Amino acid sequence: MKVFACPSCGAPVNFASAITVFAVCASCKSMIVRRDVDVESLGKMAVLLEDLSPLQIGCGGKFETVNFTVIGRVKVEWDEGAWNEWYVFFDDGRFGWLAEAQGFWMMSFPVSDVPAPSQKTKVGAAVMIHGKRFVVDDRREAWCQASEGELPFRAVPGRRTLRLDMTGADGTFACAEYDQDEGVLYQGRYFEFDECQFMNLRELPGWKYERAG
Amino acid sequence: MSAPADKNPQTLDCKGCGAPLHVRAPGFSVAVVCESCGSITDASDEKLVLIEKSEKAIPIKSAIPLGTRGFLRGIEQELIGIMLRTDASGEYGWGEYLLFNPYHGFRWLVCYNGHWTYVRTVKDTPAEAGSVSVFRSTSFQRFITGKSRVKHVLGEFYWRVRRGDTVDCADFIHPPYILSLESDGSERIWSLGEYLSGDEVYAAFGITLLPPSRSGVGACQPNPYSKNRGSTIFLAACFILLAFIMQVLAVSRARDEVVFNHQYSFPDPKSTIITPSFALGGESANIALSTHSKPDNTWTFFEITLVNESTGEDFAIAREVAYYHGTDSDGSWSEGSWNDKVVLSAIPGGTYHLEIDPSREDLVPGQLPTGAAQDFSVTLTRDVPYWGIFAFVAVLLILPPAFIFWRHSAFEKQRWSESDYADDDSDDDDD
Repeated sequence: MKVFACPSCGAPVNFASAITVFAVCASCKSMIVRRDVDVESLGKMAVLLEDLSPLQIGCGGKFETVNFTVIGRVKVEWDEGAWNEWYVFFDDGRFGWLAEAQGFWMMSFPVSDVPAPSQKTKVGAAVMIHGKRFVVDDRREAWCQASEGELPFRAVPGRRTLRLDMTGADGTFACAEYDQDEGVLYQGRYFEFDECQFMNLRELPGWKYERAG
Repeated sequence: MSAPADKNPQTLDCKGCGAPLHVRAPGFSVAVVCESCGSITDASDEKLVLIEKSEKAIPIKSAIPLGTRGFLRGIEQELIGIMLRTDASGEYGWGEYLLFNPYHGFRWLVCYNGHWTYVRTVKDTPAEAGSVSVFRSTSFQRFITGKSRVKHVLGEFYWRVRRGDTVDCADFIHPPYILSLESDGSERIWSLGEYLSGDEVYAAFGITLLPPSRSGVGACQPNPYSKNRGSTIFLAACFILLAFIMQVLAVSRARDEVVFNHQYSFPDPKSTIITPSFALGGESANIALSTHSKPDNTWTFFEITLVNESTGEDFAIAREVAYYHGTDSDGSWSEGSWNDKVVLSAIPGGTYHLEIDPSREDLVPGQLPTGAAQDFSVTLTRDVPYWGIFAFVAVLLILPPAFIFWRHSAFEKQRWSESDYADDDSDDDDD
């Protein structure tokens, strides 16, 4: 954990590990990029539209017995709408992505030992990851609408990526994201909100968290 | 360490008419329908793209007002969107209600002909094989396929919906569940629905009106006779077995004793044959009276009285033995028999005799009998094995399960009358 002073307003900006290279100052909304020794401001972050997401930077939970904390968020937009991708830091040192889309919750992790399939892979093609079969069912261009907290890439508004969504068996999925020529493969599964036993959730006007029952 | 929530109370204005839009699920909803003009605006981007322009808002009559919160199946949910869809022809319409909870996501209530289903999109894909879809180890039977078109919309939705949007639909059932597939060429979306009553829906949302009345049988409506089928058959089988055991015991104890057997010639007219006395054993048991003669295309008739010599009580029996035969264009035919038997129950024991009054068709007073049937015989057997009571009891016991099976089958028939696939090869497994 390293703390830097925001170049614009001086407020403390946290960087949880060497992986997070980009952060948004919570006070003045400046976009901060980390260099080797110091940080640099890239300007002001775009407005994060009001939403009813129950998560916030600093809330935490437990996924498959390991505790995690939410440290960043990217609002990803595409032609037909937008969704949240929360950047999550686990107690065992892993980083994951908690996506919130159309009322569904997903957790995914980068797959380090399997390369992302070719960008040209068509919808309907099968992709094998660790012996499990995934079928490509969507191909879309998406871009960053806004972001907050700490992130492992420059989550600058307008940053475009190509995404290949793949469906596996039993509620598992995979996703390949391409930033120019660089592709990263992620693998994960859907889960019900109650599974993570969230703590420190954002207060939503008019709503209270109650377990489904 | 929590950052202040990014509050941007952004006023959303309708891109069609400028009226302010009230968004119930900001960040979740993409398409918002203007209450004033009916135009649909994309609320997912600050730029507020217009999805569909409309001049006049067409209200949808809904007993549950938009924005109502209800507690349904363990989750507090808010009604944020109402959609009316029709089939390709526009002839059949149904209502779809979008329910929202920021933690637990979206669910739908679908209402058609007064039948309600509680639906949620599912992310695990069923395995399809023609007329059957297998989902989470359960087989769903194909029920209907066709197109669905958006007719009217009100409120907000999580995708860019437009009036007229058409998708291909397929429904598979395993009552009370229904598995639905919607595809528009690029996307295939599966949902799982469960049948619920209008009463439950209205109670959940605090609506005191009566829900719309049901017409016909809902596609995934559970068969009310399913639960009883197994138990009534089991009960009936138990009782029939019991009756059978009792009957077998009775039969094994039956004496089956011939107490009287005599052959006679048809006597002079006006004469009654009085038989010698005989004993009927036991306290009270049945007797079988058998009469035999050989009429040839004629009848013989016997009026027999069984007289109890101790009490003077008598039992009058009239029996016919007739036999007819011949040939016609269809071949040879015959009717009747040379034997007749009747069982009388609960005849007290004692000393008895018979008084027999026989007659024949050609027996004319003053003339001697002519024709083949010269002789006849009468036999009386005491305490015969008689299955009549058991048969009667068995039929009675069969009636309740038979009724339930009939009603169950009639219900299924009515359900499948709404389907295009009623003849698909499978059994109606619907527990």
